[in-house]
Amino acid sequence: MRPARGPWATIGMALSYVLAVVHVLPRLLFYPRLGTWSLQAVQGEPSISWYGYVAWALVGGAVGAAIGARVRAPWRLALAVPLLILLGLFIGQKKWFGL
Amino acid sequence: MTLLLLLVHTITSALLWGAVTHQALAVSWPARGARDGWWTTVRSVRAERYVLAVVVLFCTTLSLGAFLYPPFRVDVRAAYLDAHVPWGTGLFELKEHAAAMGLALLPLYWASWRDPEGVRVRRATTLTLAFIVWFNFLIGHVVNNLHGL
Repeated sequence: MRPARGPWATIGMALSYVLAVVHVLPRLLFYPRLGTWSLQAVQGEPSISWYGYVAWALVGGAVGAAIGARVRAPWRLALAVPLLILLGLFIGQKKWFGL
Repeated sequence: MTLLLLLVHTITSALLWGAVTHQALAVSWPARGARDGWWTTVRSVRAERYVLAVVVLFCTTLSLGAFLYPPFRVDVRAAYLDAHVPWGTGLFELKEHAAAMGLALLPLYWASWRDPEGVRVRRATTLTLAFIVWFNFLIGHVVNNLHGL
């Protein structure tokens, strides 16, 4: 991968991941007990949504890398985007800690 | 099979932890002069040689974690953590988000080490990646101690 594509690939991956987490992008769920994938939630059945989030992140990274071939992104932006998203995702988990 | 995967996951994460820590120290606090000693030696590594190892180990560790997710989701989280230790579930959620953002950082990290002008971005991305690896390494141990696979 050419270095110029790196920052945009990072931005694309981070943005796609968070858009998947907040369900702007379609959810892809894996049901480990059933061994099946679905776009629909199954009541009472444990599911894994992280696979779908990562899949969307990879798609976003590919799109970002394509943009990076034409447009240069400032590296500060490329570093700030995943860090801010991570901060927001951390805050979003506060329910588990009784906050 | 799950135990074997968990052991390999632990080993690759330990290798990753060591590699990125060495690299972060060398890039942010490089050894100067000809002084001997353990601390100087730790910082004297050629940091650029760790880039490929860090990328491969990060992807390997994340992939092994992804393989281990189904038994964790059923046997640990659904069967125990959600009901008895919800903050353990919360810690794991933080870990999976941090792993994903670490994965997202890899292209920037890779690019920064291939750009001869990018000393500051190299330092910043390496330190950020090191923070994520340390965080996930420690959280992984805590969650596994709460209820192992």
